Amino acid sequence: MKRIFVSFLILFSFVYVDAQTKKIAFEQYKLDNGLNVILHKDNSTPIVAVSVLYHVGSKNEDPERTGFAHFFEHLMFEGSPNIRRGEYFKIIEGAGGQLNANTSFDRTFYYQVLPSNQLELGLYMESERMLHLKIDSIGVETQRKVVKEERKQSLDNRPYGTVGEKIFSNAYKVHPYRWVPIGSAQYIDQATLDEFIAFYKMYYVPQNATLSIAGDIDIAQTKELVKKYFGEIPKGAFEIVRPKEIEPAKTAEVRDIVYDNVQLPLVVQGYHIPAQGTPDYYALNLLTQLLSGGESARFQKEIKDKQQKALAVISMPFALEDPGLFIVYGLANMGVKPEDLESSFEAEIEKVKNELISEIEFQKLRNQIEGQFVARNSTVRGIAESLANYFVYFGDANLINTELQRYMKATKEDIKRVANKYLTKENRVVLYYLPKSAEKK
Amino acid sequence: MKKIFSFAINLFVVSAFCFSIYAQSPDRTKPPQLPPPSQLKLPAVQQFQLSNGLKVVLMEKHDVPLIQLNVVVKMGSVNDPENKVGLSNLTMDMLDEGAAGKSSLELADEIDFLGARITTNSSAHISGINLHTPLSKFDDALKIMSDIVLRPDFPQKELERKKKERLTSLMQMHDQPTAIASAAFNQLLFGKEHPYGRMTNENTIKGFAVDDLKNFYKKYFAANNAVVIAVGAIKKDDLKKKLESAFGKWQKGIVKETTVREAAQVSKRIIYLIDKPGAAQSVISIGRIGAARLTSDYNSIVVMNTLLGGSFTSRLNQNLREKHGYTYGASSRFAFRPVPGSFSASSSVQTEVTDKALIEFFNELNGIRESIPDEELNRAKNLVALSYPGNFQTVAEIAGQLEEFIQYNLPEKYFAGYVEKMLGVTGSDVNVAAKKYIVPDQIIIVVVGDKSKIEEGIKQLNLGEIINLSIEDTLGKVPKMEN
Repeated sequence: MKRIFVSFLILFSFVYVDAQTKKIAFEQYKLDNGLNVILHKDNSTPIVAVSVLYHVGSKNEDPERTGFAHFFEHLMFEGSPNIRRGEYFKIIEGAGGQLNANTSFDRTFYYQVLPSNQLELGLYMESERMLHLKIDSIGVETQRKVVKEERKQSLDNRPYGTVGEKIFSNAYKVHPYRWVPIGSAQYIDQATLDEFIAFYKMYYVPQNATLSIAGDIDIAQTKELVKKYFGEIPKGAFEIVRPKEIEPAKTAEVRDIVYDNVQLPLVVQGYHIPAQGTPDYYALNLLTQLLSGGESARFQKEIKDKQQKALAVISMPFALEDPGLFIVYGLANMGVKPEDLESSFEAEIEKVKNELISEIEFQKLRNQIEGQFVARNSTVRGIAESLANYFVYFGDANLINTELQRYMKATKEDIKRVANKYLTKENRVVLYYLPKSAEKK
Repeated sequence: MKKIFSFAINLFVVSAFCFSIYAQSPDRTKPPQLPPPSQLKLPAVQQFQLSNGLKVVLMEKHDVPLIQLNVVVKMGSVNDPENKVGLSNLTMDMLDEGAAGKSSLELADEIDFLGARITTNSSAHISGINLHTPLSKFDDALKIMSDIVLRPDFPQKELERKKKERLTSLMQMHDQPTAIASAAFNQLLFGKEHPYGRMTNENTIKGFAVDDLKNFYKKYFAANNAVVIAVGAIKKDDLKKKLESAFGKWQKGIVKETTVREAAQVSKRIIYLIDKPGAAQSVISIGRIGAARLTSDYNSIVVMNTLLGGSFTSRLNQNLREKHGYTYGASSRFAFRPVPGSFSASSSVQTEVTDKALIEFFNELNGIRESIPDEELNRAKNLVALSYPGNFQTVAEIAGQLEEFIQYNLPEKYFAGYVEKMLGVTGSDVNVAAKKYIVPDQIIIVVVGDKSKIEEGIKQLNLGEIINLSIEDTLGKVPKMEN
């Protein structure tokens, strides 16, 4: 059960970032070709994370080529003139390293975690595919099949698996967030080799990338190695295209029903909210903590424990570069009608809109958020990713140390205000997932 | 083993010279050759006892102001009474739903207010209550933890809620092909009566009463049947004093050592086909009885399985995903337990190629029994050995490692010697392990998928007898709820 929700979270929340009380010291600079470099030294464990964030995600895609950025992520493991197809993983695993990548709406992130003596190998491997990726038709054909199975495994063969896709496609009509990173299989089949090459030349260039390294390193030596491997990569020749679409303000509620292979109804609401990093975004984060952060949160207490209407209830503001969604969802208990569950959401949301929360409850939220900051950034990979995210999205990697203050600026009044401003009927999409058996009635 | 090291040392000398004379353009024709890895240096494992005999294992880690404290109780699903399968899990789940007179919500309020986290868990042989807290909140959090461990109330009202949740989860499993496959695999491999194979059902869940939980708790929660594992920014003397006041009054008890009978090995090849009409993929699980955690073959098995299906570049994943594109991923694993658990190889594959995927599975299960090329062997060994330090980054991860260390009474130098031991595994060790544990003629195959589309193809393979099962054969009927 829990697994469904966890995977739902994983599907979308690539950018759940926080900081800690242990200060993360780092150095940051730019190479002549525009590559951003961030280095953090932590010698406590003999491992190092080498990561590259390319500032390209599904929102940069052509609507006729959805899923392209994610598909391209797969192709990035295909090799280079010096690394034959199939060798990329072998070389790194053979050195005791682990590697993977993922694609979100806003960016694509590649990482390797290596024994620290293999830092140079990590730089070699990442620089090879930034300098001269090699794609052949065998690789493309194989990955087409793999990605289709990825979609089935993550979405189609999993109850409620398509919920993210449905909520975003209903919530957005103009902005490219209207499709999700996994995209449509049909477009992947249509894409040609020339299109892949054009995409690579536009987005996989030094000035659109951030190389973030964290772990057991020597800063001076690492700088030399970075220069050695990345210095010779030419700057991209094109001006990078970013989406300019602005989703118009909503004026009427959107409702939809999905009949799926499920036993229990799922109720999902999505409210339009401002982009991550804005003051209201932080207030919305406190609001989500109030509603569903932990077993003592309001949704859990009222809807799960007292009314026993749901097996699980969650709210979460989706952290996105452009204005995103505040998502509320609940899995109805057996015999509970979705309308009943939805009205319980409503009642809790109304309460926040009308009554200022108590000082003690407010303090609890702040303590919880502080506690999360202490615990975050305990792995080198997490630190490398957070530093890159903060830099790319906010232009300030030091937010890894200071973002907590932004959360702490939000007041009780702010929580009430943002609930009134954003959690309104006309500003939302509501989706019911119902058993297929209900369709015939 | 030695040869690898001296080779690596030579490289170190060479690259040390190169370092100062970097050419402007690097040699990109091959990956750089690098010096040997640094050793993982862990703080000492400190062990002591409280006045009541409660064992404590501590690893001090002072770089982050956090503490992870796991109370591990030697009890798990193997201790479930015959007609009460799921009791250990439910008992653990209920511990933090009311304790020392405080309600579930009051406890949750107190923990959340501290910004700490207390969770409970249970597995086949051990169960635990885990605290993760900022150092500054440790004292307050420990008091709550002590209430949860020593003074649970098991309130009726909360039990009813949990039972309802469990019935709902059971109902939902009927729609989850991977969950169906995994439940069926264990039942069919170990038998519906065996502690590793059995599963709870609607009637059992409905029958759980508060007294069942209280009696079960009393039987297993004793100071001499538990261990406290602590990792974090705290000194031994300080921790000892604090634990003494939190757990010093925990009574000892008489707890019998649990013995689990070894399940019979699979004697022939059988295919179990579970129909899931309209399934978007076929979920395949192939396996047999594996090995016990303390087998002398452990290191060989770990390396062998890494090669077969335990890594991205493993044979199963390379074949089914990278060569044929049948799946997003294929893998294999050994579930190591006090007595042999399962070996399983699994994947979710495209419905249309279910039969072809099975052929490739068997190609690899047979192939792993042949001698292994050095290059491939070294890659697997390096991955297992050299990625090992990555398991010791967070306080929670380290506590997890210590749990295994305690559960199996591993030697004191276990962590320090791990890398060398794994690098010492030879090709012949791997070959012996493969032949002993991977026997493709004596294996069960579970497929959950759309029978109308896959049955004919599977029949043509002539792998063995095909037994058709329904989802209900595995999970029982979809539970009914009275409202």
